[in-house]
Formats: sequence, structure tokens, C-alpha cells
Amino acid sequence: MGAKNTIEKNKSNRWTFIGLAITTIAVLTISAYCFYSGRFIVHQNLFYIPIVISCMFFPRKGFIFSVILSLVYFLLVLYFTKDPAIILQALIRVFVFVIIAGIITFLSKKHTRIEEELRESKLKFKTIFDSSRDAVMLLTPEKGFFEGNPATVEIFGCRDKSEFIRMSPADLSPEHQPDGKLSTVKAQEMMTIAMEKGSHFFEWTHKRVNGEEFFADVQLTRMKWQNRMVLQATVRDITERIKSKKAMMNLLEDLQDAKVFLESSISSFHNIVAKSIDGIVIVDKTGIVQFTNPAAETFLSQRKKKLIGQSFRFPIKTGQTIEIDIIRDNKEPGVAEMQVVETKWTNQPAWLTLLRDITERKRAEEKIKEAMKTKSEFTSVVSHELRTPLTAIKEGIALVFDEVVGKINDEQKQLLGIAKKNVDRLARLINDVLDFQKLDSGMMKFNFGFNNINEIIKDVYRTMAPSAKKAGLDVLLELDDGLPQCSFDNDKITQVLINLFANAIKFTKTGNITIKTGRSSDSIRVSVSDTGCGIKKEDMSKIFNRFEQLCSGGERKTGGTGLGLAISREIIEQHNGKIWFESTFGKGSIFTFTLPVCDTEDILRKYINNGTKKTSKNKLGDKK
Amino acid sequence: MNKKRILIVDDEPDVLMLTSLRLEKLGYEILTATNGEEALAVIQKERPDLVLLDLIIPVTYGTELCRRVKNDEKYRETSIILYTAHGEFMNEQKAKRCGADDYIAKPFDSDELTKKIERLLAEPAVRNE
Repeated sequence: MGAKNTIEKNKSNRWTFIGLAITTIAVLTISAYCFYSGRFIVHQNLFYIPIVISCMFFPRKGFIFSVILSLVYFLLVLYFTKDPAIILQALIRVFVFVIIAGIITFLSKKHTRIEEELRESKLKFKTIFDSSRDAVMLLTPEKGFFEGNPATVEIFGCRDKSEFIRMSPADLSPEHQPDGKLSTVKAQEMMTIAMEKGSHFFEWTHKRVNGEEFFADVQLTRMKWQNRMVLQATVRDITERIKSKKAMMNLLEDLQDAKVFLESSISSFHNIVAKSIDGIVIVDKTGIVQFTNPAAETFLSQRKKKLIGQSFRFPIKTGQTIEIDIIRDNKEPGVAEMQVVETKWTNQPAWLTLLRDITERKRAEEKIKEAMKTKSEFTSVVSHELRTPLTAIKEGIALVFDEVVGKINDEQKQLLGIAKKNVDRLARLINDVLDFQKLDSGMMKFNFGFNNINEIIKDVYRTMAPSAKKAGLDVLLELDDGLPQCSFDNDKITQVLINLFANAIKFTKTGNITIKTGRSSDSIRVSVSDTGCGIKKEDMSKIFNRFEQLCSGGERKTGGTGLGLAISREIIEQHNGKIWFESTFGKGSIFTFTLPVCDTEDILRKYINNGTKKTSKNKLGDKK
Repeated sequence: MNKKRILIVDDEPDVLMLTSLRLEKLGYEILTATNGEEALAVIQKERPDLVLLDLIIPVTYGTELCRRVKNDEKYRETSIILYTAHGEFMNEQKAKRCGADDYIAKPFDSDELTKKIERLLAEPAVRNE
């Protein structure tokens, strides 16, 4: 039965009732007439009409009506006849009526129940259909939509259902689907599949009436609808889901990236740590070893005993480097330098201990030290061996030259004078070479102390003035009396001054030599200027080089070692001062050096540093 | 006035000879020794006014000998001049720390040496204080 019948049931009931009433009256009238005329058999079958109708359409009530009607029939028969055979026949007929009414009622009732159930389920379906939050619609591939629930109207943004039904699937989709296919073509494909397979589930991009697009899951199900095959479509807006899915995918991708990055950094960390030739040990604050790399395992190996979990057997001191005995790769004993820094291990403060195998370095240092020692011993022996005969030669010549052992003539004296001068030069060369070697190798020791530079210049002046006078040069002193305190090594600065002074005398034929002191912002300045030959531009860069002796006027002056300025520069630089010169070729030169002015604190620091230097040197010595 | 007596201690016979010659000519009485033990014996026996002492002499090191002499009440007044060809190990301050009165590096300038000797021999009174 169709839905229409159910809907129009009340209406038909009324007409059935009227029909039934008329039929009943008609039957009763005809029967009464027939009975009256004495015919009992033929017309009694007429009673089946109202009985059947009533029982069919009004179960229960129809049955009671049928029973009453049967009784009426029986009473009519009793009224019109006394014939027992007819009465018996009528009685049987009444029974037949009742039985037939019962059967019909039973069948009809069953039918009604089925009908009601159907109606109920239809109602349920209707309710679900209408109240579903998913858009549910019916369509055929040929005609498009013909039914849709309120959610459908809403999802596509239609004003009402009639507007929706006027739409075609193409109206409610963009021209192309995300895969590039035309929506009309693809929609047809989908519907064909659903028709063939019975159902089809797919994703679809829809378009609302206002043009807004949205992603949807579409379930197409083939179904029979009023004797034809239609498709039921369920459309669910999954824009939010896709959005969150996308966000989730992005998040997953990020996570994946992070994971890859983390994994690679962990593996490179492990790689670095494992391959590090330095030993790495993590010790927690209770002194228990928490981690070691292979190098550390080797260095600290203790007969197969694992280090992890044991207490660390070396003192932990941050900011200090200590040397510890280790076992090297080749099982030989060695020395490692251990440094400790604060770190975190599994989020707990811990110590990171770095062990660097310095065995080779120490060996190399030992070799260097040995070589240095040999070199310095050699130099020392050589200089002694040179000086001793020189002493005898010098004294021998001097004795004859000074005429201690008898008169000599002028020519002899001149020749001996040359010999004497060259012996002195040789002696100076030995001293300079030795000095330079000491400065160069850092073995020169400086005795810093507060000294008055002006006094030292006066001393040097007293020593050097005679030779200047001999060379016919005036010496002028322009000393600043208000110089601040300054710490330097008296002997070394004297050496520098003598050197500069001697150079000035050596390269000046006429004129004068001026020694000037003054102060700059944080240093005192000493300059020695002359009116000598000056320095050629091309020679300027060579001035402080060792063994560099410049020719003045094409003629090489004798008496220098070529080390004087190199030594002077070393000395000044060791004082943290600067030495430089200005010169005009043919007019003269000015050599200037500075010594830093220091307050007491600086001096103290210098002393301490000097002390540390010495200590470290000693330490170095100890190591070797 | 008696001649001032100078002991020259050096293991180099040439230097010893030449230095002796000059100082003798200057009017000093010269004693010589070529090693530490010998020098100590001479000092104890002859009581020289001044010792010209080489730093590196056999048996006893010059500085050691210098200390020994200067730490002995009896010989404290003896002037000592340390001299050496090992200029890199020694300087005036160091020599004075060992008790020496003066220092001169080899090869020395004869004038400088004689000046130092003269000065030391002229001022014993001052040093005695």
C-alpha cells in the first residue's frame, strides 16, 4: 500500500461507513421483504456484503456489528417463520456468518496492524529524514533532485525545499572538482557507479546557492521509490573536518620534521661524542659517573669494569685544568688534561668532564724544551768559549797598546788600535747574539721596578758624552721633570738608550744629538734625534730587522752587530711600549719609544703576572 | 806603605798571566790560584786585600767560594770582584747578592777593572761599618 492511502484513510473510512450503513439498511429491507414473501434461502447471502465490508474496514467493531446483524437476521427469520427446518438452517447460517466475520476480522486486524507498523515506520523515517543533520536528498540520474530534508535546504543555502528541488546537481557544484574533472561529468559517473553497485561513497566539492564552496562526504545509495530506482544522497559538510585534518596534517608534518631533525641531531651528537678523540664523562653531583664515550672508557679503563655507575676517582674542580694519568689506545700510560664544566644530564645539574690526551703534546714540549735547553747551553758554552780567548787577546793587545811592557811606535800603536777596536766589536756581537737569543726564546728575565727615566738618561749621557764629544757632536738633553711614575727594567732600558745614542753618534757627522722626554696620555715618551744622514725610504722597513746594517753614504760603517735595534724593539715591546722612528734622508732621524705609565695596581698586577709566568715556566719545566 | 795584595783566581792561565802582568805593573802584589780549593787556601794563608774571582773555577763554584769567604768573620773584609765569561748568568745585582763587592764581565776593559779595584781598595773603612 502506498503512503497516499494511509494519508487518506480517515476520509475513506467515512465513505465506507456511509456505504456500509446504506448497504446494511438495503440488505435488511430486502431480506425483510423476501422473508415476508416467504423466500428465505436466496437473499440471505446478501448479508455477506455488510459483514464482509464491516469486518474488513472496521475490525472488532465490524465483528460485533456482524454478530448483531446475524442476530437481527435470526430474529427476522424467527419473526417470519415457525418452520423448524428453516430456523435450523438460519441458525447454521448465523454460525457461518459469525465464523466468516471472525475470519475476516482476524485477517483484517492483522492487516491493519501491518499497516500501522508501516505507517509508524514511515513516520519514524520521516522524522529521521526531516531531523537529520546530514543533508539527505533523493534524486535520479535523469531528473535530478526531487526530495530533500531541511538539512539539505540549509546546507545548500536555499530559501526552501521548492528552491532546492529546482536546482540540478550541476547548480550545486563548482564547474570543476579538485581533481580537474568537470563536475557534471563526474557527478554522472558517481551516480552510475552507485546505480550499478548499490551504493557509493566519495568526497565532493559542493557549491552553495551563494557561490560558497564546501567539501562534503557524499553517500549515494540506490533505492526503490514508488516502483522506480532512485538514488538517496547523504551529504555531509566536512569543511571543518578537512580544515582540522589539514591542520593536523601540517602539525604531523611539523612533528615529523622535528622528529627527523631531532633524530639526526641525536645521531650526529652520538656520532660526534662516540668518535671524539677527547674523552667525555658526565658525572652527577653525587660524584657518580653517568655517561662515558669510548675515548673516556679507554682512558680510564679499569680491567673490564664499567665506569658508569661508579664514583669518579678524580677531583672535580671547575675552571681548572688538571693533568691525570690515563691509559692510551695502545695500552701505554699517558697523560690527559682534564677540564670540568657545569652541565645538565637528564635535567639534573651535573659535571661535564673533558679529557684530552696530551701525551704527544707533552712529548713534543719535552723535545722542544730539550732542544731549547741544548740551544741555550750551546750558545752559553760557545759564548764562554769565545769570550775567554777574547779576554786574553784583548788584555794582551791592551798591555802592549797601553805600553805597560815598553814603548811602541805610532804605526804599531795604530795597528794595535784597529785590533783592539775589532776585539771590542766581537765582544759586543757575542753579547748581542746572546741577548737576542734570550729575548727571542723568551728566556730573558726582566726586573721591573720604579725608576726615573731622566736619571737613567743622565747616566747614559755621562757614559756616552765623551764619545760624542770625540765625534764632534753636541748632546742636548730636554728632560721633562714632571713625568709620572713608570715601571721598567733599568738595565734593559739603559741598553736601549745606549743603543739609540750609539746609533745617533755613528750616523751623524756634524750637528747635534737631542734626547727628549715627555708624556703622552698614558705613557712616557723618550726620543733620540740626530742631524745625521737619515734613512732612505727603501730602507725604512728593514730598520728593525736583525743583522740589518745600513750603509751611510754608500760606505758601511763598522762597529755594529746589526742586532741593536732588533734587541731594542724586543725590550720595548716586552715593556708593552712602542718604538718607532721618523727620518728624512740627509737631514736626520728621530727614534722614539714609549713606556706605559702605570699606577700601583698595575705594577702589582705586572709583578703577579711576571710571577705567574715564571711559575708557569717552572711548571712547564716540571712537566718535561 | 805596604803593597796591596790581590789574589786572581782563574782557570785560564793566559788570562791569569796577562791580568797579573797589568796589575803588577800598577804596583800591586799578585797572588794566583787556578781552582777554588787553592784559592781558599791562599786566602786563609796570605789574607789578600782583594780577590778577583772567576765564576766558573774548578772544584768550587765562584759564587760558592765568594759566600764562604764573606760568611767567615775572619775574611769578611776581603774585597771580592766576581768576573766571568758567562755574562748571561751573572750581573752586578746577582754578584752582590752572593756577597761580592763588584762585578765585571769578560772580556773586560782594563781601565774599568783597574778603576773598580782602586775604588774598592780605597774604601775599606766604609765597608767595615
